[in-house]
Amino acid sequence: MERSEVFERLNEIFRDVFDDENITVTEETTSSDIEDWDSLTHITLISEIEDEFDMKFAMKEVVGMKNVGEMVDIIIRES
Amino acid sequence: MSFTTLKFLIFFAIVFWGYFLIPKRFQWAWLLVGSLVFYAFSAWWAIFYLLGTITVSYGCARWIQSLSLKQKESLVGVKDKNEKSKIKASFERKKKWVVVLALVLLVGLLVVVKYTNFILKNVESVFHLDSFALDIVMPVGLSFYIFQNIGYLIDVYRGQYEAEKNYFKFALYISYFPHVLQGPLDDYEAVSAELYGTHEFDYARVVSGAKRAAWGFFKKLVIANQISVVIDGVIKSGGTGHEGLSIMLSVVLYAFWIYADFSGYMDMAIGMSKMLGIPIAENFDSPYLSKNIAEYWRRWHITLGAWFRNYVFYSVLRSSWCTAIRKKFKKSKYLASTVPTVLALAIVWLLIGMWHGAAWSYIMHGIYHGGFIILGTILDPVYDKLHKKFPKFYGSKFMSAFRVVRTFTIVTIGYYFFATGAPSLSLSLLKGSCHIYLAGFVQFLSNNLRELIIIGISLIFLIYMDFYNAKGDKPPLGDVVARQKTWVRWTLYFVLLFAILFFRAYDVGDAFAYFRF
Repeated sequence: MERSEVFERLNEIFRDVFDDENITVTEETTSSDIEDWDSLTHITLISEIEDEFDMKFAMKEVVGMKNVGEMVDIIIRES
Repeated sequence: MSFTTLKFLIFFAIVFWGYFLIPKRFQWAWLLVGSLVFYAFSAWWAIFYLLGTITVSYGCARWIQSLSLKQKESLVGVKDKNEKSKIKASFERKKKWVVVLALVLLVGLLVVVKYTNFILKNVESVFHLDSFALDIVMPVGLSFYIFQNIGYLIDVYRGQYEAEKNYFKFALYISYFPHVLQGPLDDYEAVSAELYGTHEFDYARVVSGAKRAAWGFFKKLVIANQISVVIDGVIKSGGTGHEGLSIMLSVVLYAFWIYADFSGYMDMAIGMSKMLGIPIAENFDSPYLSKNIAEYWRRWHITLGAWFRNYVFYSVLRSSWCTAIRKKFKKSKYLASTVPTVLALAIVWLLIGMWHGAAWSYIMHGIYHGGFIILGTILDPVYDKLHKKFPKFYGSKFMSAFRVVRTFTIVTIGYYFFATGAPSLSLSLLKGSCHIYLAGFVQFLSNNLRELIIIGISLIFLIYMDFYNAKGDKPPLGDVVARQKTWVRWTLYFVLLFAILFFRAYDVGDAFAYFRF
Protein backbone atom coordinates (compact mmCIF):
# COMPACT_ATOMS: atom_id res chain seq x y z
CA MET A 1 0.00 0.00 0.00
CA GLU A 2 1.29 3.48 -0.89
CA ARG A 3 1.82 5.94 1.94
CA SER A 4 -0.24 8.58 0.18
CA GLU A 5 -3.16 6.18 -0.10
CA VAL A 6 -3.01 5.46 3.65
CA PHE A 7 -3.08 9.19 4.37
CA GLU A 8 -6.06 9.68 2.07
CA ARG A 9 -8.07 6.98 3.82
CA LEU A 10 -6.92 8.23 7.23
CA ASN A 11 -8.14 11.74 6.46
CA GLU A 12 -11.62 10.34 5.80
CA ILE A 13 -11.60 8.52 9.15
CA PHE A 14 -10.31 11.53 11.09
CA ARG A 15 -12.93 13.81 9.53
CA ASP A 16 -15.62 11.31 10.38
CA VAL A 17 -14.52 10.61 14.00
CA PHE A 18 -13.86 14.24 14.93
CA ASP A 19 -16.77 15.54 12.87
CA ASP A 20 -14.69 18.18 11.11
CA GLU A 21 -14.39 18.32 7.32
CA ASN A 22 -11.32 20.59 7.48
CA ILE A 23 -8.95 18.07 9.07
CA THR A 24 -5.94 17.04 6.99
CA VAL A 25 -3.40 14.94 8.83
CA THR A 26 0.33 14.88 8.10
CA GLU A 27 3.31 12.83 9.31
CA GLU A 28 3.78 15.21 12.23
CA THR A 29 0.15 15.58 13.36
CA THR A 30 -0.26 14.76 17.08
CA SER A 31 -3.21 14.66 19.46
CA SER A 32 -2.48 18.24 20.56
CA ASP A 33 -3.18 19.46 17.00
CA ILE A 34 -6.77 18.19 16.99
CA GLU A 35 -8.98 19.69 19.66
CA ASP A 36 -11.20 16.69 20.40
CA TRP A 37 -8.46 14.05 20.26
CA ASP A 38 -8.28 12.92 23.90
CA SER A 39 -8.13 9.57 25.66
CA LEU A 40 -11.89 9.10 25.15
CA THR A 41 -11.87 9.57 21.36
CA HIS A 42 -8.47 7.89 20.89
CA ILE A 43 -9.87 4.37 21.18
CA THR A 44 -12.80 5.15 18.87
CA LEU A 45 -10.32 6.44 16.32
CA ILE A 46 -8.10 3.36 16.70
CA SER A 47 -11.07 0.97 16.26
CA GLU A 48 -12.25 2.81 13.13
CA ILE A 49 -8.76 2.57 11.64
CA GLU A 50 -8.55 -1.13 12.50
CA ASP A 51 -11.88 -1.78 10.75
CA GLU A 52 -10.90 0.25 7.70
CA PHE A 53 -7.51 -1.40 7.18
CA ASP A 54 -8.44 -4.80 8.60
CA MET A 55 -5.53 -4.91 11.05
CA LYS A 56 -4.93 -4.70 14.80
CA PHE A 57 -2.77 -2.34 16.86
CA ALA A 58 -0.82 -3.82 19.77
CA MET A 59 -1.53 -2.22 23.14
CA LYS A 60 1.98 -0.77 23.30
CA GLU A 61 1.26 0.97 19.99
CA VAL A 62 -2.12 2.28 21.18
CA VAL A 63 -0.41 3.86 24.19
CA GLY A 64 2.92 4.73 22.63
CA MET A 65 2.23 6.20 19.17
CA LYS A 66 3.83 9.64 18.99
CA ASN A 67 2.28 11.03 15.79
CA VAL A 68 0.28 10.10 12.70
CA GLY A 69 3.51 9.22 10.87
CA GLU A 70 4.15 6.38 13.34
CA MET A 71 0.53 5.32 12.97
CA VAL A 72 0.98 5.07 9.19
CA ASP A 73 4.17 2.99 9.64
CA ILE A 74 2.25 0.49 11.73
CA ILE A 75 -0.72 0.38 9.34
CA ILE A 76 1.56 -0.34 6.36
CA ARG A 77 3.44 -3.01 8.31
CA GLU A 78 0.38 -4.78 9.68
CA SER A 79 -2.17 -4.64 6.87
CA MET B 1 8.85 9.77 58.27
CA SER B 2 7.13 12.97 57.16
CA PHE B 3 9.01 15.53 55.05
CA THR B 4 8.19 18.29 57.54
CA THR B 5 9.92 16.76 60.57
CA LEU B 6 13.40 17.63 61.84
CA LYS B 7 14.24 13.90 61.65
CA PHE B 8 13.60 13.97 57.93
CA LEU B 9 15.63 17.13 57.33
CA ILE B 10 18.62 15.48 59.03
CA PHE B 11 18.03 12.33 56.98
CA PHE B 12 17.87 14.32 53.74
CA ALA B 13 21.02 16.28 54.58
CA ILE B 14 22.92 13.00 55.05
CA VAL B 15 21.50 11.45 51.85
CA PHE B 16 22.16 14.64 49.87
CA TRP B 17 25.78 15.23 50.92
CA GLY B 18 26.61 11.54 50.86
CA TYR B 19 25.24 11.29 47.32
CA PHE B 20 27.74 13.82 45.98
CA LEU B 21 30.70 12.75 48.13
CA ILE B 22 30.78 8.99 47.46
CA PRO B 23 32.18 7.54 44.18
CA LYS B 24 29.62 8.12 41.43
CA ARG B 25 29.11 4.44 40.59
CA PHE B 26 27.67 3.87 44.07
CA GLN B 27 25.19 6.76 43.84
CA TRP B 28 22.14 4.67 42.99
CA ALA B 29 22.98 2.09 45.67
CA TRP B 30 23.28 4.93 48.19
CA LEU B 31 19.79 6.09 47.22
CA LEU B 32 18.45 2.56 47.64
CA VAL B 33 19.87 2.24 51.15
CA GLY B 34 18.55 5.72 52.01
CA SER B 35 15.11 4.91 50.61
CA LEU B 36 14.82 1.66 52.58
CA VAL B 37 15.90 3.41 55.79
CA PHE B 38 13.37 6.18 55.05
CA TYR B 39 10.57 3.67 54.51
CA ALA B 40 11.52 1.58 57.56
CA PHE B 41 11.15 4.73 59.70
CA SER B 42 7.38 4.74 59.04
CA ALA B 43 7.12 1.27 60.62
CA TRP B 44 9.88 -1.32 60.41
CA TRP B 45 7.51 -4.22 59.64
CA ALA B 46 6.13 -2.37 56.60
CA ILE B 47 9.42 -2.94 54.80
CA PHE B 48 8.34 -6.57 54.27
CA TYR B 49 5.29 -5.41 52.32
CA LEU B 50 7.47 -3.15 50.20
CA LEU B 51 10.09 -5.81 49.47
CA GLY B 52 7.39 -8.45 48.93
CA THR B 53 5.69 -6.46 46.17
CA ILE B 54 9.07 -5.61 44.62
CA THR B 55 10.05 -9.28 44.54
CA VAL B 56 6.76 -10.38 42.98
CA SER B 57 6.87 -7.84 40.16
CA TYR B 58 10.59 -8.22 39.57
CA GLY B 59 10.25 -12.01 39.29
CA CYS B 60 7.14 -11.97 37.10
CA ALA B 61 8.51 -9.26 34.80
CA ARG B 62 11.71 -11.29 34.28
CA TRP B 63 9.59 -14.37 33.63
CA ILE B 64 7.57 -12.53 30.95
CA GLN B 65 10.81 -11.24 29.46
CA SER B 66 12.27 -14.75 29.19
CA LEU B 67 9.05 -15.99 27.55
CA SER B 68 9.31 -13.19 24.98
CA LEU B 69 12.90 -14.20 24.28
CA LYS B 70 11.94 -17.87 23.86
CA GLN B 71 9.09 -16.80 21.57
CA LYS B 72 11.55 -14.99 19.33
CA GLU B 73 13.91 -17.99 19.25
CA SER B 74 11.08 -20.40 18.43
CA LEU B 75 9.99 -18.24 15.51
CA VAL B 76 13.42 -18.29 13.86
CA GLY B 77 13.25 -20.27 10.61
CA VAL B 78 9.48 -20.87 10.80
CA LYS B 79 8.04 -19.92 7.40
CA ASP B 80 4.47 -21.19 7.60
CA LYS B 81 2.10 -18.36 8.60
CA ASN B 82 -0.27 -20.65 10.50
CA GLU B 83 2.56 -22.24 12.41
CA LYS B 84 3.91 -18.78 13.26
CA SER B 85 0.65 -17.52 14.68
CA LYS B 86 0.21 -20.78 16.62
CA ILE B 87 3.60 -20.33 18.32
CA LYS B 88 2.85 -16.67 18.98
CA ALA B 89 -0.55 -17.46 20.50
CA SER B 90 0.89 -20.14 22.77
CA PHE B 91 3.52 -17.78 24.18
CA GLU B 92 1.05 -14.93 24.50
CA ARG B 93 -1.18 -17.20 26.55
CA LYS B 94 1.68 -18.11 28.88
CA LYS B 95 2.64 -14.46 29.33
CA LYS B 96 -0.95 -13.60 30.10
CA TRP B 97 -1.01 -16.22 32.84
CA VAL B 98 2.13 -14.80 34.43
CA VAL B 99 0.75 -11.27 34.43
CA VAL B 100 -2.57 -12.50 35.83
CA LEU B 101 -0.72 -14.35 38.60
CA ALA B 102 1.23 -11.19 39.50
CA LEU B 103 -1.92 -9.06 39.43
CA VAL B 104 -3.78 -11.50 41.67
CA LEU B 105 -0.93 -11.34 44.20
CA LEU B 106 -0.53 -7.54 44.12
CA VAL B 107 -4.18 -6.54 43.90
CA GLY B 108 -5.01 -9.34 46.35
CA LEU B 109 -2.63 -7.91 48.92
CA LEU B 110 -4.09 -4.43 48.49
CA VAL B 111 -7.65 -5.69 48.78
CA VAL B 112 -6.94 -7.80 51.87
CA VAL B 113 -5.05 -5.07 53.71
CA LYS B 114 -7.21 -2.14 52.67
CA TYR B 115 -10.72 -3.53 52.31
CA THR B 116 -11.10 -6.55 54.64
CA ASN B 117 -12.47 -4.51 57.52
CA PHE B 118 -14.70 -2.46 55.23
CA ILE B 119 -16.25 -5.64 53.83
CA LEU B 120 -16.58 -7.20 57.30
CA LYS B 121 -18.25 -4.07 58.70
CA ASN B 122 -20.80 -4.02 55.89
CA VAL B 123 -21.54 -7.72 56.37
CA GLU B 124 -22.00 -7.06 60.10
CA SER B 125 -24.44 -4.23 59.56
CA VAL B 126 -26.44 -6.08 56.88
CA PHE B 127 -26.84 -9.22 59.01
CA HIS B 128 -26.85 -7.41 62.39
CA LEU B 129 -23.87 -9.39 63.67
CA ASP B 130 -21.45 -8.64 66.48
CA SER B 131 -18.28 -6.92 65.43
CA PHE B 132 -15.58 -9.25 64.15
CA ALA B 133 -13.31 -6.63 62.57
CA LEU B 134 -9.64 -7.60 62.35
CA ASP B 135 -6.65 -5.70 63.56
CA ILE B 136 -5.03 -4.82 60.22
CA VAL B 137 -2.75 -1.83 59.93
CA MET B 138 -2.13 -0.61 56.41
CA PRO B 139 1.51 0.13 55.57
CA VAL B 140 1.85 3.76 54.50
CA GLY B 141 2.13 4.26 50.73
CA LEU B 142 0.88 0.74 49.89
CA SER B 143 -1.74 1.95 47.38
CA PHE B 144 0.89 4.02 45.61
CA TYR B 145 3.71 1.52 45.28
CA ILE B 146 1.43 -1.37 44.40
CA PHE B 147 0.08 0.75 41.53
CA GLN B 148 3.59 1.58 40.39
CA ASN B 149 4.48 -2.13 40.47
CA ILE B 150 1.37 -2.99 38.43
CA GLY B 151 2.07 -0.28 35.84
CA TYR B 152 5.61 -1.57 35.37
CA LEU B 153 4.45 -5.18 34.98
CA ILE B 154 1.77 -4.33 32.42
CA ASP B 155 4.26 -2.24 30.43
CA VAL B 156 6.70 -5.16 30.30
CA TYR B 157 3.83 -7.50 29.36
CA ARG B 158 2.75 -5.15 26.56
CA GLY B 159 6.35 -4.98 25.35
CA GLN B 160 6.73 -1.27 26.05
CA TYR B 161 10.25 -1.84 27.41
CA GLU B 162 12.45 -4.66 28.69
CA ALA B 163 12.31 -5.87 32.29
CA GLU B 164 15.03 -4.51 34.60
CA LYS B 165 17.71 -7.19 35.12
CA ASN B 166 19.15 -5.89 38.38
CA TYR B 167 16.91 -6.65 41.36
CA PHE B 168 18.38 -3.86 43.46
CA LYS B 169 18.00 -1.26 40.73
CA PHE B 170 14.38 -2.28 40.34
CA ALA B 171 13.95 -2.07 44.11
CA LEU B 172 15.19 1.54 43.95
CA TYR B 173 12.65 2.40 41.25
CA ILE B 174 9.78 1.32 43.51
CA SER B 175 11.13 2.45 46.88
CA TYR B 176 12.75 5.79 45.86
CA PHE B 177 11.96 7.94 48.90
CA PRO B 178 10.53 11.08 47.21
CA HIS B 179 7.72 9.06 45.58
CA VAL B 180 7.21 5.93 47.71
CA LEU B 181 4.69 7.34 50.21
CA GLN B 182 2.25 9.37 48.08
CA GLY B 183 3.51 9.33 44.51
CA PRO B 184 3.88 10.73 41.92
CA LEU B 185 3.35 7.38 40.18
CA ASP B 186 6.51 7.52 38.12
CA ASP B 187 6.82 5.76 34.80
CA TYR B 188 9.81 3.38 34.78
CA GLU B 189 10.86 4.39 31.27
CA ALA B 190 10.77 8.10 32.13
CA VAL B 191 12.65 7.94 35.42
CA SER B 192 15.05 4.97 35.24
CA ALA B 193 17.91 6.52 33.23
CA GLU B 194 18.37 9.39 35.69
CA LEU B 195 17.66 7.24 38.73
CA TYR B 196 20.47 4.82 37.88
CA GLY B 197 22.69 7.44 36.23
CA THR B 198 25.48 9.42 37.86
CA HIS B 199 25.11 13.06 38.82
CA GLU B 200 27.51 15.91 39.46
CA PHE B 201 26.80 18.57 42.05
CA ASP B 202 25.24 21.38 40.00
CA TYR B 203 24.77 24.56 42.06
CA ALA B 204 22.05 26.11 39.85
CA ARG B 205 20.04 22.89 39.80
CA VAL B 206 20.36 22.37 43.56
CA VAL B 207 19.20 25.92 44.27
CA SER B 208 16.30 25.59 41.85
CA GLY B 209 15.23 22.30 43.49
CA ALA B 210 15.58 23.79 46.97
CA LYS B 211 13.34 26.72 45.99
CA ARG B 212 10.69 24.35 44.71
CA ALA B 213 10.86 22.38 47.96
CA ALA B 214 10.68 25.59 50.04
CA TRP B 215 7.52 26.61 48.19
CA GLY B 216 6.12 23.18 49.08
CA PHE B 217 6.97 23.70 52.75
CA PHE B 218 5.16 27.05 52.65
CA LYS B 219 2.08 25.44 51.08
CA LYS B 220 2.00 22.66 53.66
CA LEU B 221 3.10 24.39 56.87
CA VAL B 222 1.46 27.77 56.38
CA ILE B 223 -1.52 27.33 54.05
CA ALA B 224 -2.62 23.74 54.71
CA ASN B 225 -1.88 23.67 58.43
CA GLN B 226 -3.47 27.07 59.15
CA ILE B 227 -6.59 26.01 57.25
CA SER B 228 -6.55 22.82 59.26
CA VAL B 229 -6.72 24.84 62.50
CA VAL B 230 -9.86 26.63 61.28
CA ILE B 231 -11.81 23.81 59.64
CA ASP B 232 -10.90 20.53 61.38
CA GLY B 233 -13.48 20.94 64.12
CA VAL B 234 -16.23 21.87 61.67
CA ILE B 235 -15.59 19.06 59.16
CA LYS B 236 -14.91 16.25 61.63
CA SER B 237 -18.08 16.96 63.61
CA GLY B 238 -20.19 17.09 60.46
CA GLY B 239 -20.84 20.78 61.15
CA THR B 240 -22.42 20.18 64.54
CA GLY B 241 -22.72 23.46 66.45
CA HIS B 242 -21.89 25.58 63.41
CA GLU B 243 -24.19 27.59 61.18
CA GLY B 244 -24.46 27.39 57.39
CA LEU B 245 -22.06 30.05 56.13
CA SER B 246 -19.27 28.85 58.45
CA ILE B 247 -19.74 25.32 57.12
CA MET B 248 -19.73 26.48 53.50
CA LEU B 249 -16.60 28.56 54.09
CA SER B 250 -14.97 25.55 55.76
CA VAL B 251 -15.71 23.29 52.80
CA VAL B 252 -14.33 25.90 50.36
CA LEU B 253 -11.24 26.16 52.56
CA TYR B 254 -11.06 22.36 52.56
CA ALA B 255 -10.65 22.53 48.76
CA PHE B 256 -7.60 24.74 49.25
CA TRP B 257 -6.38 22.68 52.19
CA ILE B 258 -6.25 19.41 50.26
CA TYR B 259 -4.69 21.16 47.27
CA ALA B 260 -2.00 22.91 49.34
CA ASP B 261 -1.34 19.73 51.32
CA PHE B 262 -1.06 17.32 48.38
CA SER B 263 0.57 19.63 45.83
CA GLY B 264 2.85 21.03 48.56
CA TYR B 265 4.08 17.50 49.22
CA MET B 266 4.68 17.10 45.47
CA ASP B 267 6.68 20.35 45.36
CA MET B 268 8.87 19.05 48.17
CA ALA B 269 9.30 15.63 46.51
CA ILE B 270 9.99 17.05 43.04
CA GLY B 271 12.26 19.77 44.45
CA MET B 272 14.38 17.41 46.56
CA SER B 273 14.63 14.91 43.73
CA LYS B 274 15.76 17.72 41.45
CA MET B 275 18.47 18.61 43.97
CA LEU B 276 19.78 15.07 43.46
CA GLY B 277 19.53 15.47 39.67
CA ILE B 278 16.55 13.16 39.17
CA PRO B 279 13.43 14.70 37.57
CA ILE B 280 10.22 12.97 38.64
CA ALA B 281 6.69 13.41 37.24
CA GLU B 282 4.55 16.50 37.83
CA ASN B 283 1.24 15.74 39.53
CA PHE B 284 -0.60 19.08 39.37
CA ASP B 285 -1.20 21.69 36.71
CA SER B 286 -3.29 24.49 38.29
CA PRO B 287 -6.29 22.12 38.61
CA TYR B 288 -8.75 24.66 40.03
CA LEU B 289 -8.54 26.66 36.79
CA SER B 290 -10.05 23.80 34.75
CA LYS B 291 -13.12 24.51 32.62
CA ASN B 292 -14.79 21.13 33.10
CA ILE B 293 -14.50 18.03 35.29
CA ALA B 294 -12.74 15.92 32.65
CA GLU B 295 -10.08 18.61 32.31
CA TYR B 296 -9.88 18.92 36.09
CA TRP B 297 -8.86 15.25 36.31
CA ARG B 298 -6.18 15.78 33.69
CA ARG B 299 -4.74 18.50 35.91
CA TRP B 300 -5.34 17.13 39.45
CA HIS B 301 -3.32 14.08 40.57
CA ILE B 302 -2.16 13.75 36.97
CA THR B 303 -0.20 10.52 37.39
CA LEU B 304 -3.15 8.67 38.96
CA GLY B 305 -5.41 9.71 36.07
CA ALA B 306 -2.77 8.64 33.56
CA TRP B 307 -2.40 5.31 35.36
CA PHE B 308 -6.13 4.57 35.17
CA ARG B 309 -6.23 5.68 31.53
CA ASN B 310 -3.32 3.47 30.44
CA TYR B 311 -3.99 0.36 32.47
CA VAL B 312 -7.76 0.26 33.10
CA PHE B 313 -9.63 2.52 30.68
CA TYR B 314 -7.73 1.44 27.55
CA SER B 315 -7.72 -2.21 28.63
CA VAL B 316 -11.49 -2.22 29.10
CA LEU B 317 -12.15 -0.40 25.82
CA ARG B 318 -9.85 -2.76 23.90
CA SER B 319 -11.37 -5.88 25.48
CA SER B 320 -13.30 -8.29 23.29
CA TRP B 321 -16.64 -7.51 24.94
CA CYS B 322 -16.28 -3.78 24.33
CA THR B 323 -15.37 -4.47 20.71
CA ALA B 324 -18.50 -6.64 20.49
CA ILE B 325 -20.64 -3.81 21.85
CA ARG B 326 -19.12 -1.42 19.34
CA LYS B 327 -19.94 -3.86 16.50
CA LYS B 328 -23.48 -4.26 17.79
CA PHE B 329 -24.13 -0.52 17.51
CA LYS B 330 -22.38 -0.26 14.16
CA LYS B 331 -25.35 1.53 12.61
CA SER B 332 -25.13 4.53 14.91
CA LYS B 333 -21.73 6.21 15.07
CA TYR B 334 -22.76 7.98 18.27
CA LEU B 335 -23.83 4.83 20.13
CA ALA B 336 -20.89 2.76 18.85
CA SER B 337 -18.43 5.13 20.50
CA THR B 338 -20.51 6.36 23.44
CA VAL B 339 -21.83 3.08 24.91
CA PRO B 340 -18.43 1.38 25.43
CA THR B 341 -16.87 4.67 26.60
CA VAL B 342 -19.58 5.19 29.22
CA LEU B 343 -19.18 1.60 30.47
CA ALA B 344 -15.41 1.95 30.71
CA LEU B 345 -15.76 5.31 32.49
CA ALA B 346 -18.19 3.82 35.00
CA ILE B 347 -15.70 1.06 35.86
CA VAL B 348 -12.78 3.49 36.08
CA TRP B 349 -14.61 5.93 38.37
CA LEU B 350 -15.90 3.27 40.68
CA LEU B 351 -12.31 2.04 41.03
CA ILE B 352 -10.90 5.55 41.51
CA GLY B 353 -13.42 6.07 44.30
CA MET B 354 -12.47 2.77 45.93
CA TRP B 355 -8.76 3.42 45.52
CA HIS B 356 -9.04 6.49 47.75
CA GLY B 357 -10.19 4.46 50.67
CA ALA B 358 -12.38 1.75 52.05
CA ALA B 359 -15.42 3.86 52.83
CA TRP B 360 -18.73 4.64 51.14
CA SER B 361 -17.80 8.34 51.15
CA TYR B 362 -14.92 7.77 48.75
CA ILE B 363 -16.94 5.47 46.54
CA MET B 364 -19.70 8.11 46.39
CA HIS B 365 -17.11 10.77 45.59
CA GLY B 366 -15.82 8.65 42.69
CA ILE B 367 -19.34 8.08 41.36
CA TYR B 368 -20.08 11.81 41.72
CA HIS B 369 -17.09 12.87 39.61
CA GLY B 370 -17.55 9.98 37.18
CA GLY B 371 -21.20 10.96 36.80
CA PHE B 372 -20.26 14.43 35.56
CA ILE B 373 -17.70 13.03 33.13
CA ILE B 374 -20.17 10.45 31.80
CA LEU B 375 -22.83 13.15 31.44
CA GLY B 376 -20.32 15.28 29.53
CA THR B 377 -19.58 12.35 27.20
CA ILE B 378 -23.27 11.64 26.55
CA LEU B 379 -24.12 15.30 25.93
CA ASP B 380 -21.01 15.97 23.83
CA PRO B 381 -22.92 16.37 20.52
CA VAL B 382 -25.25 18.90 22.15
CA TYR B 383 -22.31 20.97 23.42
CA ASP B 384 -20.66 20.75 20.01
CA LYS B 385 -23.78 22.11 18.32
CA LEU B 386 -24.11 24.92 20.84
CA HIS B 387 -20.47 25.88 20.45
CA LYS B 388 -20.83 25.97 16.67
CA LYS B 389 -24.02 28.00 16.86
CA PHE B 390 -22.76 30.58 19.36
CA PRO B 391 -18.98 30.68 18.88
CA LYS B 392 -18.69 34.26 20.14
CA PHE B 393 -20.57 33.59 23.36
CA TYR B 394 -18.69 30.38 24.21
CA GLY B 395 -15.36 31.94 23.27
CA SER B 396 -15.91 34.97 25.50
CA LYS B 397 -13.87 35.68 28.62
CA PHE B 398 -17.04 35.76 30.69
CA MET B 399 -17.94 32.21 29.64
CA SER B 400 -14.41 30.95 30.37
CA ALA B 401 -14.53 32.48 33.84
CA PHE B 402 -18.00 31.09 34.41
CA ARG B 403 -16.89 27.58 33.46
CA VAL B 404 -13.90 27.77 35.83
CA VAL B 405 -16.12 28.89 38.70
CA ARG B 406 -18.71 26.22 37.84
CA THR B 407 -16.06 23.47 37.84
CA PHE B 408 -14.62 24.67 41.14
CA THR B 409 -18.12 24.70 42.63
CA ILE B 410 -18.79 21.13 41.49
CA VAL B 411 -15.45 19.97 42.92
CA THR B 412 -16.12 21.76 46.21
CA ILE B 413 -19.59 20.23 46.56
CA GLY B 414 -17.89 16.87 45.96
CA TYR B 415 -15.76 17.54 49.04
CA TYR B 416 -18.90 17.32 51.17
CA PHE B 417 -18.66 13.57 50.48
CA PHE B 418 -14.89 13.29 50.50
CA ALA B 419 -13.89 15.37 53.50
CA THR B 420 -15.77 13.68 56.31
CA GLY B 421 -15.04 10.03 55.49
CA ALA B 422 -18.57 8.97 56.55
CA PRO B 423 -21.87 9.47 54.67
CA SER B 424 -23.79 10.31 57.87
CA LEU B 425 -21.37 13.18 58.63
CA SER B 426 -21.56 14.36 55.01
CA LEU B 427 -25.32 14.47 55.22
CA SER B 428 -25.23 16.45 58.45
CA LEU B 429 -22.69 18.82 56.86
CA LEU B 430 -25.04 19.35 53.91
CA LYS B 431 -28.05 19.89 56.16
CA GLY B 432 -26.10 22.27 58.39
CA SER B 433 -25.17 24.39 55.35
CA CYS B 434 -28.84 25.32 54.91
CA HIS B 435 -29.21 26.88 58.35
CA ILE B 436 -27.69 30.32 57.96
CA TYR B 437 -27.37 32.51 61.02
CA LEU B 438 -25.38 35.67 60.35
CA ALA B 439 -24.34 36.45 63.93
CA GLY B 440 -22.94 32.91 64.23
CA PHE B 441 -20.91 33.43 61.08
CA VAL B 442 -19.45 36.71 62.37
CA GLN B 443 -18.56 34.89 65.59
CA PHE B 444 -16.85 32.13 63.57
CA LEU B 445 -14.85 34.70 61.61
CA SER B 446 -13.75 36.61 64.69
CA ASN B 447 -12.80 33.41 66.54
CA ASN B 448 -10.44 32.50 63.69
CA LEU B 449 -9.40 36.00 62.65
CA ARG B 450 -5.61 35.55 62.89
CA GLU B 451 -5.62 32.28 60.92
CA LEU B 452 -8.05 33.61 58.31
CA ILE B 453 -5.87 36.68 57.65
CA ILE B 454 -2.77 34.49 57.20
CA ILE B 455 -4.74 32.08 54.99
CA GLY B 456 -6.21 34.93 52.92
CA ILE B 457 -2.83 36.52 52.21
CA SER B 458 -1.10 33.21 51.45
CA LEU B 459 -3.91 32.14 49.13
CA ILE B 460 -3.32 35.28 47.04
CA PHE B 461 0.22 33.99 46.37
CA LEU B 462 -0.99 30.45 45.67
CA ILE B 463 -3.68 31.61 43.25
CA TYR B 464 -1.30 34.04 41.55
CA MET B 465 1.19 31.18 41.02
CA ASP B 466 -1.54 29.02 39.52
CA PHE B 467 -2.64 31.73 37.08
CA TYR B 468 0.98 32.37 36.18
CA ASN B 469 1.75 28.69 35.57
CA ALA B 470 -1.52 28.08 33.72
CA LYS B 471 -0.67 30.70 31.12
CA GLY B 472 2.20 28.47 30.09
CA ASP B 473 3.86 31.05 27.84
CA LYS B 474 6.25 32.39 30.48
CA PRO B 475 9.35 30.83 32.08
CA PRO B 476 8.82 29.20 35.52
CA LEU B 477 8.60 31.80 38.27
CA GLY B 478 11.64 30.27 40.00
CA ASP B 479 13.78 31.04 36.93
CA VAL B 480 12.47 34.60 36.80
CA VAL B 481 13.44 35.07 40.46
CA ALA B 482 16.89 33.58 39.77
CA ARG B 483 17.54 36.34 37.23
CA GLN B 484 16.81 39.19 39.69
CA LYS B 485 19.45 41.25 41.50
CA THR B 486 21.00 39.64 44.56
CA TRP B 487 19.20 41.84 47.08
CA VAL B 488 15.79 41.22 45.44
CA ARG B 489 16.36 37.46 45.44
CA TRP B 490 17.53 37.26 49.02
CA THR B 491 14.73 39.50 50.26
CA LEU B 492 12.27 37.13 48.64
CA TYR B 493 13.99 34.06 50.13
CA PHE B 494 13.96 35.58 53.60
CA VAL B 495 10.32 36.59 53.30
CA LEU B 496 9.42 33.01 52.36
CA LEU B 497 11.61 31.57 55.13
CA PHE B 498 10.18 33.89 57.79
CA ALA B 499 6.66 33.28 56.56
CA ILE B 500 7.24 29.55 57.03
CA LEU B 501 8.84 29.99 60.45
CA PHE B 502 6.41 32.51 61.91
CA PHE B 503 3.11 31.72 60.27
CA ARG B 504 3.20 27.95 60.26
CA ALA B 505 0.56 26.33 62.38
CA TYR B 506 1.59 24.06 65.24
CA ASP B 507 -0.21 21.16 66.81
CA VAL B 508 -1.87 19.82 63.69
CA GLY B 509 0.55 16.92 63.22
CA ASP B 510 3.02 16.10 60.47
CA ALA B 511 0.89 13.71 58.45
CA PHE B 512 -0.14 14.50 54.90
CA ALA B 513 -3.66 13.93 53.60
CA TYR B 514 -2.73 11.25 51.06
CA PHE B 515 -0.74 9.12 53.53
CA ARG B 516 -3.94 7.33 54.48
CA PHE B 517 -4.64 6.29 50.89
